[in-house]
Amino acid sequence: MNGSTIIRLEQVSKSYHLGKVEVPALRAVTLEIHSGEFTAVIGASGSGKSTLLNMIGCIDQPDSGNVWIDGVDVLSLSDDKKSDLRNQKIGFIFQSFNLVPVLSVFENVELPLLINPLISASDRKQRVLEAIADVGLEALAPNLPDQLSGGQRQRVAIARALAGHPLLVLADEPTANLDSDTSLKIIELMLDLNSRKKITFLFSTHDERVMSRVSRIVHIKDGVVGA
Amino acid sequence: MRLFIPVLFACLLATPSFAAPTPAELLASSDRARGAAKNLKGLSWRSEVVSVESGKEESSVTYTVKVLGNDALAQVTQPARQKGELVLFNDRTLWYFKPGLKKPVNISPRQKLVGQAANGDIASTQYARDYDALEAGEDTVNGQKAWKLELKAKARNVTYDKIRYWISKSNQVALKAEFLTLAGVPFKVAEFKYANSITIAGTKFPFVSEMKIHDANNAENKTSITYKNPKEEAHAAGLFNVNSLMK
Amino acid sequence: MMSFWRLAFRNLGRNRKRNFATGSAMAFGFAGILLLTAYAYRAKNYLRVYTVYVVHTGHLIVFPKNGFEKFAFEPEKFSLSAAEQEKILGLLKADPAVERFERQIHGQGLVGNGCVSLPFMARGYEPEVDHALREHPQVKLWMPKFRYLLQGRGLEAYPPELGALLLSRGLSSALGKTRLHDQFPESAPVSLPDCEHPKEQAAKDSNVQLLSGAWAGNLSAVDGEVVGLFTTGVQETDSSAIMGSVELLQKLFSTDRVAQIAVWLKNPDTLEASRAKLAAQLGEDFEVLRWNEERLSPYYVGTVNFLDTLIRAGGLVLSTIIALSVLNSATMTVLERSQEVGMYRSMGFRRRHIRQLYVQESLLLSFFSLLCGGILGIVAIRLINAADILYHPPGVAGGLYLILVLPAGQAIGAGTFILLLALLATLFAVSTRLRQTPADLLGGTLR
Repeated sequence: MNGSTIIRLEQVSKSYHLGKVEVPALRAVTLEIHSGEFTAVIGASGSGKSTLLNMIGCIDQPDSGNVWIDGVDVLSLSDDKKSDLRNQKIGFIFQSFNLVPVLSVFENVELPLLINPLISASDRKQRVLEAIADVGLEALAPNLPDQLSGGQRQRVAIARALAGHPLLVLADEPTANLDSDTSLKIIELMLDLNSRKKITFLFSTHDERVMSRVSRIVHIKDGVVGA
Repeated sequence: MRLFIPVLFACLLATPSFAAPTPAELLASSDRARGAAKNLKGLSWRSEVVSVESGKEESSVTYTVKVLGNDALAQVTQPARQKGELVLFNDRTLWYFKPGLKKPVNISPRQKLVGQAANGDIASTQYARDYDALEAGEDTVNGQKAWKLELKAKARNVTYDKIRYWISKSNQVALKAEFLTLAGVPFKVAEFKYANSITIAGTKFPFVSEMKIHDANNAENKTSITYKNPKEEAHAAGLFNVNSLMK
Repeated sequence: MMSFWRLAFRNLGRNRKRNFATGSAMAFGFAGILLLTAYAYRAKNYLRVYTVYVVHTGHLIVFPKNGFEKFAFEPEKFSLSAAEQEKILGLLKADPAVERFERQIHGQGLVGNGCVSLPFMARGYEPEVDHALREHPQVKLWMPKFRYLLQGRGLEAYPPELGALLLSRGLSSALGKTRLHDQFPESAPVSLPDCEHPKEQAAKDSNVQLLSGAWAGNLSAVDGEVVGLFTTGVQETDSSAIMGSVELLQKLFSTDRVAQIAVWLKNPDTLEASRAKLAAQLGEDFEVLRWNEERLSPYYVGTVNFLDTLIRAGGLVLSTIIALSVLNSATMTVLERSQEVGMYRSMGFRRRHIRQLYVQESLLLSFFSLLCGGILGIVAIRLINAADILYHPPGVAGGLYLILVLPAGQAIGAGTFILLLALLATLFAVSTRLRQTPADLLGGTLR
C-alpha cells in the first residue's frame, strides 16, 4: 500500500443489454486504489475490464453498489458535478488517442484546462509546457496530430491527461494500437512519471508481458475481480 | 266563272254585319285624344307632372306643351330652378336643352324624364306612327268594355318595345296601357281619364285630362300627369327648329 | 492560447463539402426570402401611395352617417350640405396634423359627342388638390415612372367656366375625342353634329356633353371640354371614367352638396388618433373612415393580404428547407464526432460546453452564409431593378415595372430568424447525443 485510498468500489455490479439478453459485465466488485500505485487490470476481451474503468472514471453508472472518488460518493453527484470531478481529478488515455485533429499538440494538451475555472491563463500555459516537457515533445508543440506517429500521439494524450494534475490517470489499453517497441516505450514513460512525480496510474491491458513491470495487478474474469 | 259563286259567297260570309274599327283606326283615335294634332293649326296645353316615390312626394314639374304635326315642344314653367329647360321633339328625334348649354343634347325617348314618366311620354303620343298593332280580343277596364291591342315598336328609337293597349269600345280612347319589356313582362302601367275636350273641324272630341303611371313592381312609385286647358293654337314652324336653340 | 470560437472555426474546415452545401442552402434560401420581402414591400407601398394619393382616397374620409353605403342610392339625402361642409372644413383647417383636404362628389350618366352616348362614372375633385397630389413626394418616391396624365394638362390649368374634363383612355377613343382642348383654336363655331360621319364629327372639336339625372330627379346636362387623358390604372374602369371639378359635377346634379370630404395627414402614423379625434369632434351625424378599411379600399386590402400570404408561405417553405438542411448536416456531424464528444465529456466538459461548441460552430457557418445570401440578394435586386422589366399583375392596366425595395429592418429580422432556426436545429441534433453517457459515446474501445 503506497498511500491513502483515492478510489473505492463496493459491491459494484453492471449489466448490459444485448437485444433481449442481459450480459453481466461486473459482478459485485469491491476494490481499492491507493495514491501512487501503478496498477494494471489484466483480463481477456469481454472480461469486464473496460466496464471497471468506466465505473472508476465515472463515465458510466453502476446498476448497484457504490463508488467513492477522493472520499466523495459519486452516485450522489449531478451530471455537472461529475464532469467537474473528472476534469479536476481524473485524466483519461484512450486506445485510439482521441486527439482533436484541428488543434496543435499544445492546444490539445491545453483542452481540459480551458474549462477549469481554478486555473488562471498564465498557470495554464505553464502547466501545458510542463506536461509537454514531461512526455518529451517540446519540439513538436505546434504540430497537428496527423503530422505525428502513433507513439507521439499517445504521448500527447498522456500530456493532456497530466496537465490537470489529476488524482488518477486511467488508461484503457493504451498500447493496443501501437507496435511492441513503441508500446514498451509508452509503458516506460508511464512508469517514469509514476516514480518521479508519484502520479497514480490504472490501466487495462491483455498483454501479459507487462505484468512484470507493474507494482500491482488486478485480475478480472467474467466480471469478477481476483487478487 | 266557276269560282265566282264560291268567292261571292265567301265575301258575304266574311263581311260582318257591323264594321268594327281596325287596330290602325283605333290607334289613330286614341292618339287624337292624347295630343296628336292632326288637321289642326297647332295644339297647346299645360302638363303638371307630380311624382311620388315610396309614398313621399318627390317632385313636381309643370310644362307648357306645343304640338304641330310631328313636332312638339315641352317647356318647363315650374319650379323656378328648372325654368328654361325644354324637350324638343322632331319626329322620333328628341333634344334636351337647358339654359347655359352651348347646344342641345340628343336624348332617347326611353330615358326617365321625371318619376315614372319617360321623355317620350311628356308630349303627344304618336302610337299610330310608331307601332304595329294586333287585335288581342276584348276586355273590361273599370267596368268599361274595351278592345285589347298588342303593340309592337316599328323602329328602335321609340319609347317602348311593346305595349298592351286597352281602347274603350264606346268612345275609342285609351283606357289603360301596360308597357312591356321585349320579353313581354310589364314594367310600367298607365291609366287615363278624359275630362277634357277639343274641337277639330267643328266636331268635339274627348281629350286626356289625367295619365297615372305606376311601377308594375311597386305601386308606391307613381307619377301623375294632369293635362290642363288644351286648345287649338297656331304655332310657327320655326318654333320647332332645333337650330334656334344654338347660341 | 485558444478559445471556443477558434476551435469552432477550425472545426468548420473538417467537413468542407457538407458545410458548403448547407451554407449554400442557407445563402440561397435567405436571398430568396430577401427577394420576396423586397417585392412585397415595394408592391405594398406602391399600392398604398396609389390608393391614398393617386385616386384621391386620402388617409381619412368624412361621410354623413351611412353616407358611404347609401350615397349611390339617395344622393340628396346622404350627402354633406353646404353648412356641414363649412363646419367640417373649419375643423380641418384648424388641425395641425392635416396636410390637406378635398371636397369630393361622384355620379354617373351618359357622355355624348353629339352622335354617340356612352355611360360614364365621374369623380369630381378640386383641381388644385389634384395637382398637389400628382406632385406629392410620396408619389414621386414610390411611383416615379407612373404617368398620371397621359396627355394634356391637369384641371388646375383651366378656368372654372370652361368645364374642363379628363377622360379615361378607353372612353376617349370610344368617343373619338382624342384631340384635346389645347389643340384647337380658340373660336370654334358651335353647330349641330353631322351624324352621317360620326368619326369626322367627333374629331372636329374637344367638347362633350354630360347627361344625367339631377339629384332632385329631373333630367340635367352640362357641356364639357376634354383637356386631358388619364388612365385609371385598372382595366375595368379605364373605358368609363371621367374626372372633373367638384363645381362642374355639382352643376350637372343641380346641387351645392358634396358626397364626402377626404383628408390627408402630414404623418400617416397618427392615423387612428386623428380619426378618433375628428370623429369625436364631428359627432354622431358623421362617419370618419380610414383609407385602409376593407369596404373602402377592397383592392388594396385584398392585394396586401394576398402579398402577405405569399411572403409568409414562401418564407415558411424556405425557412423549413434551411432548418432541415441544417438539422441534417448537424446530425451527421454530431454522429461522426460521437467518440470525440465522449472524449470531451470524459475530460470534464459539461453538457453545456458541448452544446456551446456546436452552437458556436453553427453560428459561424450561419452568419457567414447569411452574409453571402444577403449580398447575393442585394445584387440580384439591383440587377432586376436595372432590367426595367414590365409585367402585368391582375387588374393593372398598362402593366407595372418590376422594382424591388428591401427594407433594412425586415431583412435583418429575417436573417436573425434564420440564424435562430439554425441554432435550434443544431441544438436539437446535439441534444440527442448528450443524453448518452460518455461511455456509450466513446463506444467500442471502452467496453
